[in-house]
Amino acid sequence: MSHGHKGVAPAHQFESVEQQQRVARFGMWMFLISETMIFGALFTGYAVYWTLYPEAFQEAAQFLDVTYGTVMTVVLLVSSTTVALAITALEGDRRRLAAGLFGVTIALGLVFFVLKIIEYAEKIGDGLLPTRGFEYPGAESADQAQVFFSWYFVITGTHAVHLIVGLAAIGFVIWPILRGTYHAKYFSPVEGTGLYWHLVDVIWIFVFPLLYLMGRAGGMG
Amino acid sequence: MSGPREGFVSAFVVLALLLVLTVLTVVAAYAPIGVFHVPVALALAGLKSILVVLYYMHMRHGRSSDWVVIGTGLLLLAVLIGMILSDVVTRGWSG
Amino acid sequence: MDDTRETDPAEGDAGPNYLRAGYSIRSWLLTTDHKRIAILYLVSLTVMFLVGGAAAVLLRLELISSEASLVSGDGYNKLFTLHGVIMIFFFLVPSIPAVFGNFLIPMMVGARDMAFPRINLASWYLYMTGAILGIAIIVGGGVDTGWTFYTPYSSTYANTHVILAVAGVFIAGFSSIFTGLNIVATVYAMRAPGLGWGRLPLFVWSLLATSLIILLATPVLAITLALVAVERATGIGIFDPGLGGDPVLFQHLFWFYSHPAVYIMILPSLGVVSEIVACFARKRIYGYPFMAGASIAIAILGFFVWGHHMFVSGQSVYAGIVFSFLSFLVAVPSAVKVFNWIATLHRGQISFETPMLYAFGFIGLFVVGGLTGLFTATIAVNVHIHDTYFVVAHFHYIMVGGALMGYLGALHFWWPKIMGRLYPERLARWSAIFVFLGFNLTFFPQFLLGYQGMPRRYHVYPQEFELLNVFSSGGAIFLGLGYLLPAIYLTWSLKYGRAAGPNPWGATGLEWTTASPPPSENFARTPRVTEPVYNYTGERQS
Repeated sequence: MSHGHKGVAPAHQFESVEQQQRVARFGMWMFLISETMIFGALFTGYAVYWTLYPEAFQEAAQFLDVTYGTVMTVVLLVSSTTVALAITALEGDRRRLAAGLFGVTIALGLVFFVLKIIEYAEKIGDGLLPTRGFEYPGAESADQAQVFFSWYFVITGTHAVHLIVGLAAIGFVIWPILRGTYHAKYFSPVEGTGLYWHLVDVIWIFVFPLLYLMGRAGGMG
Repeated sequence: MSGPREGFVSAFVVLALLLVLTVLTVVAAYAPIGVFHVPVALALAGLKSILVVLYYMHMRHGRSSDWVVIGTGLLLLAVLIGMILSDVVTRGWSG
Repeated sequence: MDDTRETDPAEGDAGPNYLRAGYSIRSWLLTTDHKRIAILYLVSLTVMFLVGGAAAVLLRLELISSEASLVSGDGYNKLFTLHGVIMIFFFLVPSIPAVFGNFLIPMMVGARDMAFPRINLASWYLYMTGAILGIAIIVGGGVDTGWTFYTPYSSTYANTHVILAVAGVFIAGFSSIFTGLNIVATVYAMRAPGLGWGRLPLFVWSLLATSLIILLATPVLAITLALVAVERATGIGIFDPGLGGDPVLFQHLFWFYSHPAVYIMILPSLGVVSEIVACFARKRIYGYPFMAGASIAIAILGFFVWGHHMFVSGQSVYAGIVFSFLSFLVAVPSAVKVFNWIATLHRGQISFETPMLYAFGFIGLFVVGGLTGLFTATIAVNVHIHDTYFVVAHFHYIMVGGALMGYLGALHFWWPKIMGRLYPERLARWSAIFVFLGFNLTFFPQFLLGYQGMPRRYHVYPQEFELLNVFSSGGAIFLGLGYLLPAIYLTWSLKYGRAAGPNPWGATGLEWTTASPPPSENFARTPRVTEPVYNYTGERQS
């Protein structure tokens, strides 16, 4: 199976493979924008409560761990890079390299996920799970701080769900890449998977400063 | 498709830029810039996203139709956030 | 309708028609043919319509008398919730896009199938999963939150199957996202040679506008309902003021979808009516670019007005003023549509076949619904009529008088194409008239009731409202009859209807150039478009 590409005939509804790939990319962008609106709604809710409870939120945000946030950011950025490299490799028909780079991406994604679990466990251990038994050590209103932690868990949790979906999707394309189902002339599903992973990264690029880094210098104004 | 759209090197250059911007983001969070924390954080995050979208997501060579999709989405995102916040901010104003 | 103009097209040789492409259950359940998926949707939507309709019948029966004669207060709450959830999320939102959009969009653009046939099939399965959850709720005892799922009642206090219900709506939401995505991708990339943007039928434009809303608004509803479920399941504070939350935020996020959702329901009907009016007036549609633009304008403006549902919710007065003003703006593109239809009719060769009757009915009801929308968008008036039957009547004029008339119009206009059979025209005209009269008799009294102050969502009411309620319930009988008749004669026509031929109406548009029912690949060879859109040349040659 060294160079035995499967035929590059387009699916029956298309005129050419080029058209098929163009449409797939266009469709994927529409889906990504839909996904963005999901997070848009979450960020909106978060912003609304920042506006309503600025003091409490500013204090509560201090309880998040900047180190975890930074490390997770770096891990995810590198994982996006390996996806970009994998696509470049695939475009040059270096399929083994591409599959390997996707393997690295999965490893990095798992690292992120494990860090997330450890972070959650710490927060829950500190009594910061915003449900019955919420124990808030801060000075501001515990009710309002509880809302902060609700959004923290909801936003990072929704992100984590997307991360898992992205990991699964990457897992599903690795073998077909090795087998030659996807190759330099046709790799729309791989590209779609890559785009999805980048979106997960872009969302986190916003989650990091908006959750972990708020109110660090004291005085939000 | 004829050949890669982006080289291996550019991916690493972009990663370096992303990491630099991440460091800047953290530094800015601790800097005494008062009301500018949120705008600066959003600007830096926006810059990072643009890098990812242009290079990693290949929109540097993207079709205008894909840009229309992105643009429409961002517009509606602004409507969602903007109009809801405009209610919350003005709720306390007495007439 | 003897068709002499159309010579039997060569497409007749393009293999068997799609209905004969396979008879096994498997050939239907695993099909990726957009036409077969449309039929799957047609059947399942009809079932859901019957369920939602049955709930409406019970509601109207209860309201015949001012006392609790049929159901308890709880039972009534569950009935109107059921009616709303089923009709909106499982019938009206998917209706025209999933049935006629699926069937017609690839044919109208001259393609062999949708861009993503497997996603198309997945969309139907998601819909069915949601719908089965919806049915499961009925069996399991119902939901009583109203279709709006307002917090904190839904997230904290209700003792009914809220989580199951929002799960059903969540899943159905992704089904419509998949349909919308397919429609946009198909129109964007798969148009036949010569079919520029200025030659697209207005039905295609209206579904593009609809898909825009579906793609951008549905995710917001999905995550919002998910948050309700999370708050309910875990007790973390998101919307419940008892836990520090802001219930008005829920309403914002909910109406960010649910107001544009009204345009998801009405825009496709606007497109259908444009097709029908042009065909039965034998004229090119007047002001085509404005008609196409108005669809897009309605979709976009529709995103700026959701706050008019929240004038009495504790939303800021200033936001209310802005939302009220913006709501008036939607009237502009809507009026452009109505005036252009009238201009199209002017000096046309008008004939009154069944689809045209539905189109006329639509225009009348849409105008009434639209104009009363201006009342409700005015803050001062809104405060008076908020949550009264005036609002109920208003949105039924749009969503039933508008969206459903459009759906029935489309069903009668394209039925000969879909099934290859003609239905009994005379009976169909009578049923269209039944629907129109029954509808007005049902819902016009509700304007009066609401203006006099009868609140919605109560099973008992002061006796002075009884007379008008009896009228309303009486009208519902005619309306129900008008809905049942098509179900009967259309089914009858499947076996006994006369063969329709490729183009029984003498209509323009690519879908009419191929056989009825169309072959699996739609066209023998990719069509080439050389004529402008709606190239009607006066009298019908038949």
